[in-house]
Amino acid sequence: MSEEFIRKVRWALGRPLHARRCEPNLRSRQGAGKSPSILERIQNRCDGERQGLLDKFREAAHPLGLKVYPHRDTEAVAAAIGALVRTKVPEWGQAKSVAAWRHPLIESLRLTEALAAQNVPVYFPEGPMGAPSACRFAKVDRQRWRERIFQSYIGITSADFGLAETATLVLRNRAGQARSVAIVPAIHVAVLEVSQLIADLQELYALLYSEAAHPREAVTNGMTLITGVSTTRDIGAVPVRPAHGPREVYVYVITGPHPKQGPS
Amino acid sequence: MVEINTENYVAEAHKAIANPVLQRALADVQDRFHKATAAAYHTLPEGPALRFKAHQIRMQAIANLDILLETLAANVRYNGGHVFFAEDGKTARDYCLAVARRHRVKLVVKGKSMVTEEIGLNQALADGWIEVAETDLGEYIIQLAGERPFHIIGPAIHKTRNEVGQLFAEKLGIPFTHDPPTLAQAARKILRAKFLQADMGISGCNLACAETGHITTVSNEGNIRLATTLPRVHVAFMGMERIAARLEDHDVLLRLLCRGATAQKLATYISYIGGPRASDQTDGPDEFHLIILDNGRRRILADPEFREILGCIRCAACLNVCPVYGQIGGHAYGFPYSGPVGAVVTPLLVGINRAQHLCLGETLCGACQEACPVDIDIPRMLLALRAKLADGDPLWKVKRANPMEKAIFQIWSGLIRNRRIYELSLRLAAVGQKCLPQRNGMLRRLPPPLHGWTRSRDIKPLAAETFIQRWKKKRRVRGIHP
Repeated sequence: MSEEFIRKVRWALGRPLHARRCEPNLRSRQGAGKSPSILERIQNRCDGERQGLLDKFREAAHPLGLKVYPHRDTEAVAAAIGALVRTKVPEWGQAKSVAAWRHPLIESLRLTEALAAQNVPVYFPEGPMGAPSACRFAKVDRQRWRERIFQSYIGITSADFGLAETATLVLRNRAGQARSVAIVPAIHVAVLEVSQLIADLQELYALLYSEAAHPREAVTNGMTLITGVSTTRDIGAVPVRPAHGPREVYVYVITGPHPKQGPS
Repeated sequence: MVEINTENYVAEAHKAIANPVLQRALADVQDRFHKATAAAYHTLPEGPALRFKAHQIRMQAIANLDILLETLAANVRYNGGHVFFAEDGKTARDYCLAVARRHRVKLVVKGKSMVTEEIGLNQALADGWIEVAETDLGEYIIQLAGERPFHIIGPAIHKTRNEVGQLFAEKLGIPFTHDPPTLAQAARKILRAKFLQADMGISGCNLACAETGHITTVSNEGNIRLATTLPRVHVAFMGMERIAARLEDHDVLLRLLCRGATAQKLATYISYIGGPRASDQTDGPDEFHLIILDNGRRRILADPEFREILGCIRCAACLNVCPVYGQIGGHAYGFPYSGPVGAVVTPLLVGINRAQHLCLGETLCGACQEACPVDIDIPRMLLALRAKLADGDPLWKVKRANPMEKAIFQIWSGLIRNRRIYELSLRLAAVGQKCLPQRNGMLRRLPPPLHGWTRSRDIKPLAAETFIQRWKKKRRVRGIHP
C-alpha cells in the first residue's frame, strides 16, 4: 500500500517509477544542524551572557502571562513552591495535591518534605515495576497515575531548555517525566537552571541534532514547546486565559550565587 | 462524505453581505490581523524576506515529496508508530473507524484539523456510533451549532458572544451569559470531563519533519496536547504535502506559520509527536497512527501550473487580508477551505467547473500573496483556473464555463483587428447609446449581454470623437500635417 502510494507520488513528480531515488541535496544537508559554530557559541557562554538570556526570557515572558522568578538555589525554589501551595486553591475539588516529575533537579527540591507540613501529598510517576511481567503492572501503575494527575492542582516539571527569544519551555518525553504534569493540573511550575537557557529554535535544533546518534532520535516520541499560558479568542474575539491548559505558569530559574538576584 | 456547496457561492455571498453582524465581525478580524501579521514578519531576525526562503523550502520539499514521505514513514515506524497512506477520504475514514472499532472506542476527543473537515470524518464516526467531541473552543461552538468552520483558524469568529451565550444556554443547559471568561470556563469544565473519558484522540498535523520522523501540532488552547496525551490511541491526519525535510527547514516554517496565523512569535503549545508512549513512560497513547492523505493532491502535484499551492501551510493569513473574504466570509465558499487559498484549492479538489464561482469571485488584488508567509502566488493560479474555465481543459475535465463569453470575445477580437469595421461599430454605438437611459451625463443601463456592467454603477458614454480623430484635428489646428 505505501509503496504503491509513493510510486504514484513519484509518477506525479515525473520521476522514474521504479528507481529508488536519493536526492543528493537532502542527504548532504542532513546533519547541517550540527553546526559547530552554534554549538561552540552555546558551550562558551559566560555568566554575563547567560544573565542576558535570562533578562531576555523575562522580557518575552511578561506579555504572555508567564511568571518568571530567578532564585539563588533549590532551597529558595522549594520555599517558593511551598508559598505557592499555601496561597493557591484547587480549581476542581477541595483537596490539595501536587504532581511532579521524577527528575534530578526536581528531586533535589525535596518537595515531599517541604510540603509535608501543609499535609499536601506529592505524586511522582511510578515506573514499570520490574521487567518482562511489567506489562500488567504498568497498566495498573498508569491507571493510578491518571487518577493522581487528575486530582493534582499543581504540576511541577523541569525543562530541557528555555528559549530566551520567545520565553519558551522545551519539555521532552522521558521515563518519569510524564507529559501530563505540564498540561492537566491548573498550575504549571517549571524549574530550570540558568545554564539551560539558550537563545532560540535554531540553537535548540542544533543541540537536538548534536545529542542524537541519528536524526530520527533527535525528537524521539515527543517534545513540547510551551510559550505562555493557555489562551483562546474564540468567543467574540475576546482574549481569555485559560482555555484548556494550565491557568497559570511559573518558571523558577536557579541562578546560583550570583550578584544579580531577583525577587522571591 | 463531506457536503460540497460550492454552487451556492453567489447566493451565500449575498446573504453574508446583507448581514450587519457578520460584516462587523469580519471587519474586526481583518483589522486586527492584517497589520499585526505584517508587523510580525518584521520581528523576524532575518526580516520579512525570510518568506522568500520559506517559499524555496516548501517548493523543494514538494519536489522531493516521494523521498520525504518514505523517510517520514520509516522514521515514525522506527519509533513504534503506524503509518497509513490513504488514497482518498473514504479509505482514510475507514482506516480510522477500523482502529476505533479494534479499540472499542466510544468517545473521541478531537483537535482542530482541516483535513478531517475535508473528508467529513466526524459524520463517519457518528454514523459508526462513536461520539466525537471537538475540543478547540471555536470548533466546539460550531459543532454545537451544527455549522462548518467560518475561518481556517478561527472557526467561530462569525458568532458574537451573545450568540455563543444563547447556544451554550440552549445546548449545555447553563444559565445565559455573554461573558467570554464564564463561557470559556463552562466549556473548559465540560471538555475536561471528555478528555478524561475519551478512548481516542484525533489531531491534524501542521507540519511533519521527514528526517526526525515527527508531526507537529500547534495550538494556543492546549486542547491538542490533552487530546494526544490522555486517550489510549492517537490518530493524526496529515495532507501529504505538509512536510519539511529537516529541522532547519522546520524552524523557518514554524516561525512563519505562527506569525502568519496569529501574529505570534510562537504559538502557546507546539507538540512534536513521533510515536506512541515508550514502554517506560507513564502517559501518552499506547498506539499512534499517522494517516497521510492524498484525496486529489497528487493530481495537483502532477500539474506544474498548480503545484505551488501545495506549499500552503494553512495559516489563513490570506483570509485576513482578502477584500472578498472580508465581505462574504467563509461559509459562501461551500467547502472547509475558504478565502483566497480556498478559491484555488477547492476547485482543484472538488472540480473546477463545480467550484468555478470561487476563483471567479476573487479580485486578483494580490494582497494574499503579500501576506502569505511562504509567498505563494495565488493570483497567478486564480488566473490559470479562469483560463481553464474560459477555454476548457480535457486534462482537468473542465468544460467551457460560458460558451457565449468565448463567442463574444472571438467577435471582439475580429472587430478590433479590422479598423474600418471597428470605427463603423464605434459610430453605430455612439448613435445607439443616445436611446439608453442617462443621468448626469452617464449611462444608467446597458442592454444585454452588457447589462451586468451597469447593475451597480453608471458608465461613461462613448466620447463624441475618438482619440485619433481628436489627435488629427489638434495637429491640423497647429498646422502640422500628418
